[in-house]
Amino acid sequence: MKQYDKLIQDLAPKKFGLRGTIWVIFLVVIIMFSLYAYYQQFDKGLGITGMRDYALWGVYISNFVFFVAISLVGSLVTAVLRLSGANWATPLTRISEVIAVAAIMMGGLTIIIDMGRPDRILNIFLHGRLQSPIIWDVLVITTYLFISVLLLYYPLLPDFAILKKHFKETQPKLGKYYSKMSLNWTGNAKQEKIYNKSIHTLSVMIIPVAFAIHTVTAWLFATTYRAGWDSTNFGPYFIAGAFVAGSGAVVMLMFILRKTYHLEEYITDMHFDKMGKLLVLLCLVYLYFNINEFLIPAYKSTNEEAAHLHGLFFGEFSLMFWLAIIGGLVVPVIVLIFRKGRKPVPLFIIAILVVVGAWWKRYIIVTPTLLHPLLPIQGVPESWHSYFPTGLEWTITAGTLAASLLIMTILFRYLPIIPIHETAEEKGFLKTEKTETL
Amino acid sequence: MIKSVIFRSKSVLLIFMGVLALFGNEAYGQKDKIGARLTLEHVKVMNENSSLKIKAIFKGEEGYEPAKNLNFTIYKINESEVDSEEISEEDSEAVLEEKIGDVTTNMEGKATFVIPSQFVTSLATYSIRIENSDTYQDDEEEITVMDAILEASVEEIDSVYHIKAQLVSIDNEPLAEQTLRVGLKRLFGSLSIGEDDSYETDENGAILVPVQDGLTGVDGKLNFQVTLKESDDYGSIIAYIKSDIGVPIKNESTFYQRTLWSPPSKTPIFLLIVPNIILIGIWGVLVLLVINLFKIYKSKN
Amino acid sequence: MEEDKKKSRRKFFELGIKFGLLATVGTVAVAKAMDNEDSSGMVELMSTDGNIIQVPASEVHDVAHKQPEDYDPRVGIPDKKFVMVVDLAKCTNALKCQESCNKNHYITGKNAWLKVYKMQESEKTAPYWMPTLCQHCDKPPCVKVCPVDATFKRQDGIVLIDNERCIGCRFCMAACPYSTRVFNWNEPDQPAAAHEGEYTPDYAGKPSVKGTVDKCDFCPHMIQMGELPHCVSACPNDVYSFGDMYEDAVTNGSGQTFKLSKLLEERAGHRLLEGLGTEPSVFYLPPVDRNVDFEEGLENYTEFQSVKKTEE
Repeated sequence: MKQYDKLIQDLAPKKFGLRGTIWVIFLVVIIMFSLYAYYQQFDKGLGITGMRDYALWGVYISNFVFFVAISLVGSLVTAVLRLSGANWATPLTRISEVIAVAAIMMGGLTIIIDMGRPDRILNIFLHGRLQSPIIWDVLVITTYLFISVLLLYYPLLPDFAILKKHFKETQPKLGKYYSKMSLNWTGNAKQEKIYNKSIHTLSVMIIPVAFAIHTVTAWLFATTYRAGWDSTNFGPYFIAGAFVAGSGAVVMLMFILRKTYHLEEYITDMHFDKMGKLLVLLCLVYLYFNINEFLIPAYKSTNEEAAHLHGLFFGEFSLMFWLAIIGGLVVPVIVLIFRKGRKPVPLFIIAILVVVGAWWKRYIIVTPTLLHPLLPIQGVPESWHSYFPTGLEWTITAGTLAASLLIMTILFRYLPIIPIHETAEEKGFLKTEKTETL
Repeated sequence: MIKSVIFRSKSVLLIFMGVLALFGNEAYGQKDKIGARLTLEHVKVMNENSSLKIKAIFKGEEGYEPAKNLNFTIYKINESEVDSEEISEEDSEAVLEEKIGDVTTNMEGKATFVIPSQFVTSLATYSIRIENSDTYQDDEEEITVMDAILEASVEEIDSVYHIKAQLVSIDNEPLAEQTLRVGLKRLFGSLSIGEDDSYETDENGAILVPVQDGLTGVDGKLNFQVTLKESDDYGSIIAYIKSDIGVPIKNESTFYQRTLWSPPSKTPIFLLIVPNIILIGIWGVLVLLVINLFKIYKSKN
Repeated sequence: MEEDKKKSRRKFFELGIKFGLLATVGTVAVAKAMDNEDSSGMVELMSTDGNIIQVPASEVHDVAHKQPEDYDPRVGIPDKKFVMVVDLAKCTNALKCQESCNKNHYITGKNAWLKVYKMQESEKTAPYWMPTLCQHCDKPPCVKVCPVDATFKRQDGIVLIDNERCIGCRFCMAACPYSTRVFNWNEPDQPAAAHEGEYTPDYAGKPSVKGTVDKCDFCPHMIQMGELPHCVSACPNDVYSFGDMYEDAVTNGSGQTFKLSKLLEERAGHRLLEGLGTEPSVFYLPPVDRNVDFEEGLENYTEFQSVKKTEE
């Protein structure tokens, strides 16, 4: 009883302290700036960015791919690990789902930011063509968002029921919200049956949808003829990369939330150790795909590929490329092979490298290819031969990242970061609780 | 006496200069107007009409440009004793020439004036004039043509199609050694028929040109034309021949097929069926899962 | 008597001046009056049934082919397939084609729709000038990927853009292997003439729309008037020919018409990036037996400019 109560006490959402408030204000300020910057773009046109006719996609699109990639972690941790019986991951499922929901929401928004005529967005629904990979992307993203929200919500039902009781005295208004959201959850047999079946179904369904979402996003590039994009490898390559990025994000949040909300008892060194091992495995898989992606075109060295690869390996993109590969993949593997490397602090630092590397890796995927078209670049100003995002472009991008963090922050504020009910189940606290009626 | 003469003259002179200043610009203004270069062609289409084809260009800053919206007055100058070129407007009841219409050039600087049939004679002189244009200098171009008849037809000789044409004067005299062009009307021009670009009429004023194989047309329809181009005496004469001896075209457009590049109304069947089945399957389950939430809500016992 | 003589001389003198003044004024006045004679703006034409009719002069222009009532810019002209032939042996980088296209489509950005590339596949092969424009492919990758049916292929083979539908995602630009599409990153700075009349995809650039894609349209607005596209007419070297593939005939700017199949066979015509399977509608004749050296075109070559700035 005492253990159960302590569990609830530990895991129940707490108010923001000073740090939390400052953090939220910081994010809101960034978002305000980005809204101003977007207003400039809406008014004047995409010309306020550094994109031009050759570098026709830039930071907005690589940011979009990054968001879609990160969102796959929801399916990885929540679904794959759950279904394969890896119960150690249970404390991490909510973090993963929140990341998934926040990332996929911002992914959808980011793609609208990149549109030249966002005022005509309804045309997608009025005149949509099923032949277009963009329409496939719209369909899967919408589907994945819906599944992720459901997969976030379902396990919250018992937790909301617990929290409604917990806040009844101290914050009655908040308690009422939890009560409504809990949909009269009592944990009776009938509800449990529906609950278990539904979560199982969602977990199974989300995996192919997650694969679909990032494969379709990869096809936005692979359905073109350009060197660097014209690859049969792109679907699996993107998915492997998505798991790396997502896992890195989970580790980052594990560390931060553990510290901020004092969850050391629930997110233990064991969890970091396991995530570290998982990250090594995923990085190795992604490195394998990278080798396929770069070594074989280099072997053949067609004219188009050669120019593109030269830019990546030795040329104008080489610093970014090697930092992303070595810093974002090789170094993590080397460090995390060792047990010491998988301790919380070093793992956290490595996770930062992984996530930042993942963001720049997407930039490397989008921009260099566009600057090596099949016909020579002529007849346009010299600045059009390269791409440098403008200040406004960076501001808007920062705004999307800040918005995703804000969504996560707010969700982590009001949702138990660690699933209370599931943790209680696993720790066996519920056996004594069964006689209690709520 | 001289004083009063000068005084009188002064006032008259002042009035004169004043009027000249106001209206004189007209006379001096000719120098500021643009000089257009004119080409004039008389075209007779057999069994249809005769027309004057005018092209006007001027030398602009970047080379020759079309003279747009330039109005021409068309005159027919009748055959008479006086060779009239300098008739002033004052003697306008002249029987030597009559105005038969006017025409304005289009955006390309071209204009076609169909000569009303009553003015078509066996020998005619036409004059096109720029008069009273604000932008262009007065100018004139003349053309004299004799009427002639060009008859053309398609004939099959030894199972090879030929174009047969004969050019005769209005008195049925054959016109020999005239250069005729034989062409097949295509969308933007005329494709030469036979080996040569042009053919000389023989002593009977006739030509016979074999038509090459493999000419295509909608439903095999071919419009040939035999042209006497800008001859000195007869102007241009065109005879059209409509025939259907061509190879019917094969329309290879995929516009009415279901393809990857078709509009939504022609989506390939595979894309209509498979994605929709998948989506309906998934969303069907998702709807059921939402219904499950309601079920949970309802079964609080 | 002498005084009388003087008086009459003076009188004659004055009379002469008066008469001269009157004559001048009179002539000018009559001339001005005569100016109004033809200001009714009507033109006499013969109708098809042989009657003389009066038609407003502004209505009279060369309309060789009037479109039927049910003409739809998205459907196009039936039983035709438009193709272009570019003779690389004749191109000297005169750039008159580009100038005419830019002018007539009110192109005021920094990327022309028709560009003449300085091509040299390898150091060991010959350099040549290659005009590049939208190829109006029969299997257009751009049309395949458009999410909103804003770019479309008509039954006459022409690929157009509906600037009122386009959402500016630029996927078509990414998909085009010929890099022939341009984007309006800002509000286009076009002359007033570009905004006249109702917008139709048939006349690209009239007007250009911010946040949408533009490209060569094969000039359907000219085809409808029986005229060749602007680039074809403007080229001083007869590099371009244009026509209907089903008629097996193309016509160049000088009005010479050729049998297309014969031309392609004799001159070994080829298409750009044929291996990609896009099936372009533009054929190129190789730069063999050139009259003018390649180097002559270098004078005109501006690597970083394809649209000349206007003075305004």
